[in-house]
Amino acid sequence: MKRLLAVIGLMLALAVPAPASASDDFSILPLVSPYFRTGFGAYRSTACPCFDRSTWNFDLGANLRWHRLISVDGEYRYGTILLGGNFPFSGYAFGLRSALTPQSERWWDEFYLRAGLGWLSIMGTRDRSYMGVYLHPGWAYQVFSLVHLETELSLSYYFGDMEHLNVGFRTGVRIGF
Amino acid sequence: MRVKSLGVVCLLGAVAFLHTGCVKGPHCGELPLSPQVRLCMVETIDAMVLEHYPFAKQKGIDLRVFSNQLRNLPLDELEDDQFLVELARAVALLRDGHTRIERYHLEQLAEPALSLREADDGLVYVSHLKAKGLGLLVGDRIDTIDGVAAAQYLEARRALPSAWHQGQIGHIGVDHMGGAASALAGPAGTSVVLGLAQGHEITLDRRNFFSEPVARRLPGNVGYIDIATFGFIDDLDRLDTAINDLMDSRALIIDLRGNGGGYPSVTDGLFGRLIAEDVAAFDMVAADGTHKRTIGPTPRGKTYDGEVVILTDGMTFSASNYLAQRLVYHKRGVLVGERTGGGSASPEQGLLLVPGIWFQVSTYVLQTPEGVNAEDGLEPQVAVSFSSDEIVNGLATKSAVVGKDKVLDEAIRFLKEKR
Repeated sequence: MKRLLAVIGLMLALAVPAPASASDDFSILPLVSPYFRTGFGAYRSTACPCFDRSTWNFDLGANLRWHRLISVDGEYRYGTILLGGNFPFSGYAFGLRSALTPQSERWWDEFYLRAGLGWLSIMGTRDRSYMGVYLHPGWAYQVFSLVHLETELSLSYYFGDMEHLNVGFRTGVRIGF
Repeated sequence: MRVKSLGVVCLLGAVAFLHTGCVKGPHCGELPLSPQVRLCMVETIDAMVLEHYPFAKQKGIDLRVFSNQLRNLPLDELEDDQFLVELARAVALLRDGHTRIERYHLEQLAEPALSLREADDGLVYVSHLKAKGLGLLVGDRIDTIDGVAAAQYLEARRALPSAWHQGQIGHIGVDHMGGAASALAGPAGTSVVLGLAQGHEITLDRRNFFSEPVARRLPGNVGYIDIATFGFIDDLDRLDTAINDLMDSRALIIDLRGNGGGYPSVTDGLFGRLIAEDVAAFDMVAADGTHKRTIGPTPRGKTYDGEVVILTDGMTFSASNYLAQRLVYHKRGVLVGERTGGGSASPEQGLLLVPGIWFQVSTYVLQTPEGVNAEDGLEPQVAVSFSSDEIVNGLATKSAVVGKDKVLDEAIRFLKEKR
């Protein structure tokens, strides 16, 4: 747990927002950006304690953006835990997203941070839902005018009888309409 | 923009497909069972057994005889329920607990808070009470269950057990093999009527859910973990916690009596806490010799290095039988109790014949690198048997009470002698 907090602290320290630019206007009507991500994670069981499982995930969601620092994500998560066999899971996550760097004409310099709450239902378990928190610092690469390729580090911690830490990465596409 | 929209729609479609899986409707039709539907059921089972069943040679079964018996079932004379039981009995001729017909439940199953045991004389007794105030005593003789002769009822339920398929995206849950305890399982909230030899009846609710692993310390600093099922993967975390708590015990008793199996992932995970080094993987081989894959445990976390004893009985089946086999194969401990129920196959071919009736056939045999399987059960190093008197007096009961549980007492005696 101490290591997790240290990692989170380091990320927040590295992610000091840059001064806002003129392009960071607040919009009452949010900009909507659907996105899809997929990724891999290493699963550290708290009870063992050991990294004894891995996960694949597929996320489909949408981002509502009022300002580069103020936007919210809602996503559906589907995936599988690999533990000898495959144990599918599905769930939802909701959180905040902040672009850590101001809007820019440059395609390479959007860094962001996503954080929020998630709920997972895992096939083959007695408990039907597990709640957790997640922190995903990432980098968005603008491929075309509306299309961003995003890659992020994935840190999540779920509670309950399957309390565990998941560390991995996700990559995907966000379409900024 | 049209291309982008199409892309989003495709992504949504892909996720929806992944979520729903490939759920198919009943293969043969609907209830009530017409002669055509019954014929389809018979032909489907016959074809799947001929293609996949891997134990014909090992068990000395002539599949042509099986096929004839199956196809000689009357298709238009029996009531639906009776036909299903007869069909299940025909499948039971294969003497393979994994190749079976079962009642498929989407709702949660439960059982009354007691276990029954059939003595050698064919009489059925109460062998264990899991709750107080049921109005029964250990050793009470049960003559009828739901109005049917008790032995006959248990035989029919063994032939056609109930299985709970949790959730909507897979076939998982708890195995309900053969045992008299799980033979009383049914949808939670329903009840079962037991007719006692004393002449009165008792109605019991099915409230008892299949319990989580229970760990405690016995006198002499012996750790004890009772595992009712391996049917839930979150139980691996509970077992890890139990092992952590009992890490300083001088010996560990793992009680697999009545454990009908579940996920090998959980048993491998548990065994991974008992070994410090990698061990050989077991092979999964089809009837035609095709090698599918290997499975095996790997060391996990802090290793428990004390003596290990596994308690077994005839209901120690499938994944729990596999754990017992692992223990013996790697000389990591000993088995104490009755011969295990066996079950060394992975039933990966299955389908819904008609609504609520599932058929599955053993597809891959799990065997050691030397080609040995434990399909026909394992004989414990410390074998325990019971007289009718011991059954009536509750000594055959998995009570986990020292001095009142013969198998547990034998395990403790074995550990003392070993010391």
